[in-house]
Amino acid sequence: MKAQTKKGEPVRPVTMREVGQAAGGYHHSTVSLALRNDPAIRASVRERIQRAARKVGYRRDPLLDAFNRRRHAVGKRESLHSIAVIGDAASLRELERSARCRALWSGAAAEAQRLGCQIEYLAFGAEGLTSQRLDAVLHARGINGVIFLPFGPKVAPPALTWSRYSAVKIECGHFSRPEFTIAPALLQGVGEAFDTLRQRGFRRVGLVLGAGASPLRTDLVSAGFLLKQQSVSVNERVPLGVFGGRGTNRQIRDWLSRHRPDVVLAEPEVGNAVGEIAADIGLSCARVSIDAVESSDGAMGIIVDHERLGAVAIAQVVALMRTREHPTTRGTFTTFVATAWQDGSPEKE
Amino acid sequence: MSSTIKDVAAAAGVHFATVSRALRGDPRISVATLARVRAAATNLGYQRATECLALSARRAPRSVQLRAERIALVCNRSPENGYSRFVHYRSIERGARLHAAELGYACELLHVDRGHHDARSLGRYLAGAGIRGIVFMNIEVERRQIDLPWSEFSAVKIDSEKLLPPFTSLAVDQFGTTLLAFRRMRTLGYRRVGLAVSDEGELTSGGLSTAASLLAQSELPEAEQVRPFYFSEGLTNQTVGRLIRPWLERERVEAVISHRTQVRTYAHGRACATTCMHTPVPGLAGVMVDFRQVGRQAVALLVGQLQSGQFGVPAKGTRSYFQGVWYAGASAPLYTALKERRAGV
Repeated sequence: MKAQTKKGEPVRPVTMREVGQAAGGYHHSTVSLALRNDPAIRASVRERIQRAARKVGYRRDPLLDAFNRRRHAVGKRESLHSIAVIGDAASLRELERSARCRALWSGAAAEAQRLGCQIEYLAFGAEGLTSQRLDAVLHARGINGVIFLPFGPKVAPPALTWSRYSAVKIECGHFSRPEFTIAPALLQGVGEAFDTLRQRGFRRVGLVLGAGASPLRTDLVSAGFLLKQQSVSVNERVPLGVFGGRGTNRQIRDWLSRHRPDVVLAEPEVGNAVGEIAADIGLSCARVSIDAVESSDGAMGIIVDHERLGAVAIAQVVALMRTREHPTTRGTFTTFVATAWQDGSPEKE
Repeated sequence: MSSTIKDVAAAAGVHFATVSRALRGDPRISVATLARVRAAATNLGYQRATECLALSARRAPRSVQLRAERIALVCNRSPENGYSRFVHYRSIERGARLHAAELGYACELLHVDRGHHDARSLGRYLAGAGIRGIVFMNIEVERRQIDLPWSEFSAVKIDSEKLLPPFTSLAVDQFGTTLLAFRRMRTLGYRRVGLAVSDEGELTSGGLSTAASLLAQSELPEAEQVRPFYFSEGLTNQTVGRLIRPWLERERVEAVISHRTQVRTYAHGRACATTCMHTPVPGLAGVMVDFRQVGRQAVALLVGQLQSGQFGVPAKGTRSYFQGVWYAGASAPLYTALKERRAGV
C-alpha cells in the first residue's frame, strides 16, 4: 500500500483527499462514493475520479472496505449474522421427521442462538432449489454463511459462487467444496466398539456396509474396523461385507453362511436386513448399530452426537464469517466429533 | 439482532467511547468500570467488530499506551535449541500471527525450555500479562511437560495428543494424507504400494497411517496386499536404507509411501512419495501440508472460544484434522513410464 521512492524508502500512502484534488477539487466523501461505484455520483464524475485515483496511485485499503461494508450493512443488520442451513428435505418440517436431522437442526439452532445468529433452512437437490436458484436466493437475502447437512452420494455437489460464502459441510465427502467438513469420529468409534465387543466375549466380529453409503463414512468405518482386525488372529477375522445393487439379500445370505459372525456392526438400514436373514438361516448373530439413535430400549450401539455436529458446524462457520473469510485454502480441514458408546444388550432376533 | 457498542454502553451506564476503551484494555478506565462494562458485554453477547478493531489498530500511537488483547503461542523448544530449524514451527507461527492480527489480537511466542520458562514461571507470566488464551504448538514428547491451572485459560493445541489435556486440537490428518498418497499411486498405475513409517508415530496416532494402508488395499486379495514396514524414528536414513531392503524384495514393492521427505534415499529405485512435506521439495511427489493454515485455524478456534467465554478443559474437545494437497513429482512417475525407463537401462 505504501508507494516507494527511488531509494526504496516508504512514503505516506495516497489519501482520498489527494485523489479528490487531482480529479479537480472534489470532496473526499465524493471520492469515497465514486470509488465504491455508488449511483449517487454521476457516471461521468465517477469515471473522472477513478481515473485520477489510478493516476496518483491510490490503492484500496481492504480494512477500510471491510469497515464500510459493515457500516452500510447496519441497516440490514438482521442478515449480518444470518446462516443458511441447507438440506435435502423439502422443508424444515420434512427435515424434522428424521430424528437425526432433528438433532442436527436443534444443535445448530441452540449454538446459533448462543452466538447471536439466525439460521434458516433451505432445500437443495431433488426436493428443492437448483444450484443457480440457491446462489441467487442466498445473494438476495444477503446471507454469507452456509452449512450443508449430510447429502447422500447420489446428489450432485452444488455449484455456488463459493467466493461469496463462508461455508461448512457436515459429512458430504463427495462434495469437494466447501473445504471445511464436520464429521463423526467413526474411525475411532468403530475401533472402540470392536474392542468392547471382543471384551464381551464375541469372537467373530463383522462389519456390514451398504454400497450406497456415503464415501466418507464408508472410509472411516472400514479403516477403523480393518485396523482393529489386525490384532485378531487370522481365523477369527471376518472380511468386510459391502452389499448393494441386485441380489443384495442373496449376497448377505452367502456372506453370513460363509463367515458366520457372532456379531455384526452395521448401519441401521442394512442391519435390519442382516438380522432377518441371519434368523432365516438359523445363525445366532447379534447386531450393533453404527449411528444408533439414542434410545431407552437398551440396545447396544455407537452413538453419533448429531446435536454436537450441528453446533460445531455453526461455531466453525461463524469463525469463518468473523473475518469474512471465503477461503480457497490450500488444503482442507475436517473436524471430528467424538462418538459415544451406548451400552446394553445387542439386538438379537 | 446482534448488540452494538451503544447497547453495551447503555447497559453499563457509560458513554460508548468508554466501552471501546474498556474492551481494549485502556489503563485509564477504572477497575470497577471495566468490570461493569465486561459484564454488560457478556450479558448482551456483544462481539467486537473485527473491521473496527483492525482499523483502530492503525491509529498513530499516542502518549497513552493501549494494550491490545494478547494470546500466547507456547512451544517447548527454544530458539537456541533449534526452534528456527523446524519449518513447521515457523509456518504455524506465521499463520497464527497473521490471523491474530486480523482478529485484533497481538501474539506472544513463549518457550518452555532451558533458558526460558518452566511450567511455573509460564503460569505466573501469563497471569501477570493478563493473557488467557493459549495456542500450544506441537509440544514435543521428550522435552519439558507443561502444567497450568487450566480453568484460568482457554487453550487450543496443535498435535500434542497424549501430552496435554483434551483441549480442542489440530493436527495433520495422517489418515487422510496417507490415504490420498495411496490412492494417487494407484491412479498412477502402481499395484504393490508399501507403507514405511515410524513405530513411534503409529503408536502416537493410534495407527492412522496403517489404517489408511489397509483401507487403500482392501479391494485387493490378501495375497496381493503389501504389509507395512515399521522402523524406529531415531534411525538415520542410511540405516533405514539398510534395514528396508529385505522388505522391499520380499513384498515386491513397486512404490514406497513414507512420512520422511528423504524417502528417496531408502526407496532403492522404486517410485516413492511422502505423506507430509512442509514446502515443495524438487522432484519429490507427495502431500504438501501448509502449516500456516494450521496456525491460522488454531487462532480462529481459540478466538472463538475466548469470545464465547469457554475456559478450562472441555468435557469433549473436538479434533480438527488438516488434509494437504497432492504434488506430483518425478519420484512417482506413471508406472508405465517407470517400467520403460528401467527396461531401457
